[in-house]
Amino acid sequence: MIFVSGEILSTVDIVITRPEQKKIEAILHKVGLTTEDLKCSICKEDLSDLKHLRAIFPYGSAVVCCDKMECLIACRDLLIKKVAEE
Amino acid sequence: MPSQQSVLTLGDFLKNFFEEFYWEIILGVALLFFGALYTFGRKRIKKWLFKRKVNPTLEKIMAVYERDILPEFVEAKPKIKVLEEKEVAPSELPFGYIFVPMGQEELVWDVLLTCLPVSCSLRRIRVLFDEKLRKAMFDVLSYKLGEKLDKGETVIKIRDNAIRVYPDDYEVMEKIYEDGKLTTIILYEASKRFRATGGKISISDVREFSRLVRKMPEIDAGIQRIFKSPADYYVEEAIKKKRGVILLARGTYIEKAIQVADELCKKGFEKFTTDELGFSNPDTGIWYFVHPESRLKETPFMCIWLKWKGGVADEML
Repeated sequence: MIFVSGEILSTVDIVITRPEQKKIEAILHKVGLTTEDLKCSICKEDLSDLKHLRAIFPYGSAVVCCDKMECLIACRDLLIKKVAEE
Repeated sequence: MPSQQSVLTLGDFLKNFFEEFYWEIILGVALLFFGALYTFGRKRIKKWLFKRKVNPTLEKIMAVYERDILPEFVEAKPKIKVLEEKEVAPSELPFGYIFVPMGQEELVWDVLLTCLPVSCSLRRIRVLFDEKLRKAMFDVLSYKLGEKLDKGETVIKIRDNAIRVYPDDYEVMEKIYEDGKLTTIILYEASKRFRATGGKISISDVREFSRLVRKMPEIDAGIQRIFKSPADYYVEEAIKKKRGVILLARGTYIEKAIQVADELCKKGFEKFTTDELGFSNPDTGIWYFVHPESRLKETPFMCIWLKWKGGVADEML
């Protein structure tokens, strides 16, 4: 996980978008990642082709989530647990 | 002369060319026109379809969340933005980005049901709950949201996990939610504490608040902080509400809390026993402050749990 120095949003909580290459690259740049090292934070599946990328949570540290439901739940638990980093 | 001849030749050539390939040229231009129209139109349709497919889901989820899941706590409503193709992502980092591939718009349900309660302003006050309670609260909210939206098969996994890993705390939260105490007592109380501490929550805050939450399903009581008002004021307030009361006092206000409790015990209240609470009553200890920095770092605290019996107080009313 990469530490993100930027503070959490004040205007938008969730952004929903298509997984477009340029957009994702811009988002990843903000959280200090590149598409090459894009992996699910839970199952470590390679997500560099963006096909199975479901969500990125730049909350404290970036949590990257693939499209498996169990990973989504685990990511959520990770987000709930993350308090000290805020 | 030769140049004039060549111009004429070119003119003749073009004339012959247009005469020869007239329909082919018309067809080519028409194809280009319709091709451009298709490409442009397809993008427009795609964009329109994205918002058209995602927005109703969003509106539905948000409406249920606001109306049925967390009523009276609208500040917890998350702000969501659907980003179109050419739109640039907001410069500020949001809580999360959700990616929805073309033709798989249904997948947005899973992510929203799972992460919506976590993403909203509740995340600021959640620091008051210890880890298991915090998880249990979000589990209950996600489960209830999914249940209301007929998406039980998605959220059942969340509940199964909660029941397996922290069954007692899940039960506590579910009971609090079902009794309508989550927004009216717990979150309201958490917001007040969060503001009072400037968001800098100490271990004492977490410990005491979590204990309060775990006890809440078992008792019918509100919280009364003892501060500068005269003791009579707190006595009257407690009697008016005709329900149990938890007197919370720190430092120099402890004596006043004891006085209020003694008065209330003469007027229809009685102390919960240690057996009923699972800890001593009054509950005493040291309160460690983190905020404000200039203030005292620690002070004694007392929490007195009183239950409502009625009787004398009923006659007074």
